[in-house]
Amino acid sequence: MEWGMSLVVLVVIMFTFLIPGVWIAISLGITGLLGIILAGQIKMIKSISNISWNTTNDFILTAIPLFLFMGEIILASGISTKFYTSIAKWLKPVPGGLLHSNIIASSLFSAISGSSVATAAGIGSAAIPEMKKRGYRKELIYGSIASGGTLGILIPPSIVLILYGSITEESVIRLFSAAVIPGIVLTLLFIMYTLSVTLIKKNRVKDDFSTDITFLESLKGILPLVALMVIILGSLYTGKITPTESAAVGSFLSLVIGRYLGHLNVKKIVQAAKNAIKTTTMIVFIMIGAQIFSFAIVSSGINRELTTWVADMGFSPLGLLLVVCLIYIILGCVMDGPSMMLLTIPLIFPLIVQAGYDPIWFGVVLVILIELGQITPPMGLNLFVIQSIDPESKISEVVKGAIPYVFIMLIMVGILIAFPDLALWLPSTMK
Amino acid sequence: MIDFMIQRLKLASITLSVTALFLMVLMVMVEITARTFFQFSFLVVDEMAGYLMVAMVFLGLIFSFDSESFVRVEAFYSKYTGKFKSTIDLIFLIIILIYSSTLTYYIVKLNISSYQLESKSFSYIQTLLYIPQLSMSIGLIGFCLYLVLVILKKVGGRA
Repeated sequence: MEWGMSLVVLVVIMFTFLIPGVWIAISLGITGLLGIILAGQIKMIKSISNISWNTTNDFILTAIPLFLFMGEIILASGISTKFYTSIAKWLKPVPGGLLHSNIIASSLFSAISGSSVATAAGIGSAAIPEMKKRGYRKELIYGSIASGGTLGILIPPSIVLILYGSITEESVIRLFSAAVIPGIVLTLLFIMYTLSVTLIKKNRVKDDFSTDITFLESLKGILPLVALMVIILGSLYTGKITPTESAAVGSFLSLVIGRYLGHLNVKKIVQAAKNAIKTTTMIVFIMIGAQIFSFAIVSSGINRELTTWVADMGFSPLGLLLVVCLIYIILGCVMDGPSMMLLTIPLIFPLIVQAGYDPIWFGVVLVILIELGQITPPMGLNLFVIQSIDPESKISEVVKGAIPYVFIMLIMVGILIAFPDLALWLPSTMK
Repeated sequence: MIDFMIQRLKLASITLSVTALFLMVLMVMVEITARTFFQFSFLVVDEMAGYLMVAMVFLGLIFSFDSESFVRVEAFYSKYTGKFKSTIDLIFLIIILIYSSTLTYYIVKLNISSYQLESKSFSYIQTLLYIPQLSMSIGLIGFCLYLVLVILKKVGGRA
């Protein structure tokens, strides 16, 4: 079969499974199996055992359950409320202080918890009632929490970046360091937007947040999580330990923090482990499915032919990148981040590298596009989390609040295209 | 009876998987402590962590799937109701059973060949690979059994 036709057939098969609602991991795997058969390589099906073994038995991936466990421990210990209240106290003098608190607290918290959905739930449940009481506009509340939570996918340690590093064989530590500055810039852009919005008269509130906690107590609420993040990133950046080791240290420290500063007990620890396992298993099975799919693509020669075709078509690198961005924006509307990435990387990564883009830089751009998918309807997970926290909210209000942040993320992608060194400078300083 | 067996499988799945996760944390922490304070490394932690990852994922598969943590495109699925939804669910379960059975068949074959050929890892302890691979076979066989039970339960419910 001609490669173009093979590609179309595979895509049609995959969407035949995906759209009615077959699990993504299974859709990918079955499409891969059928792809191998269609390529006339039926004897190669036995390779799926080695694919499963090699995909799972990967030291880089072991960081995922450990980082997830760390985040689950922090969530279970109830530290998020203290953390949010403390940040709110510090930002009280700034107009619209609670909106900035949402963004800063969400970005730091989601970076540690590794889950933007859990962050939106954790911070949102503390923030929404308080902010509604103070008279903040609903759209502003929902938008700041939904988008703040997405920042954690970019700010290290990031599960999505570990996955990207594992598939593309790029250094996870370099990816983490590449994401730091764009993460900070994006957070600042979010804050600048909320500040500008709160300067408009109708968005001002008379009575902003006031807490009974002292400065010292607020320090106690903030410092442990900030210290945890500094230890994790610092040890990684200096090259003293591997991502897996830093995740294990993070898990251990979060147990200590949760025990002494939160409400952690054995039952909650076991529940945290169960939650980490659920997510890890789901991700790894998507990876196995994606690797089988990728094997089908490679064994039928589609990726090689596609790369040659794109080169022959004479697309400019920028044109190609913009098309890739568009594909991710569209996919982000219907699919979750890791699935979208695992599904597309086997085809898109070689094209991007051939076009001359740095794989580390592209990893950062890709993560921002995935973030975007978290807050775009109809499948933006964070939107639904916010709606479920506040039963009085309408999905249209949540979407309306999130839209400006979608544009800010697109601006950030533009900034990264114009100034790639924003992502590449820090990795270049590493030994 | 079917419910009882499903519950037992789930319990075994999560108990073994959580144990693997805790062992992983403990092992890596011991390695870091030994390296930092005693300038000593066990040199096998990377390898063992990989094996524990395999065990955690495959042995935890039943629990993870049963907890509905496997993601899907919900755009249409969320709109299914009543008998149509239960029929679709049954079809999807059969699809996943076919996929899992294929995976199980080839993984068990790999496991057997690793045992017969005495395949070893490249590390200095030269682990016999069939041992860590056993967790994949056990996890997948258990998962297929779980799927059969769930399908039987669904079919029984429909009847």
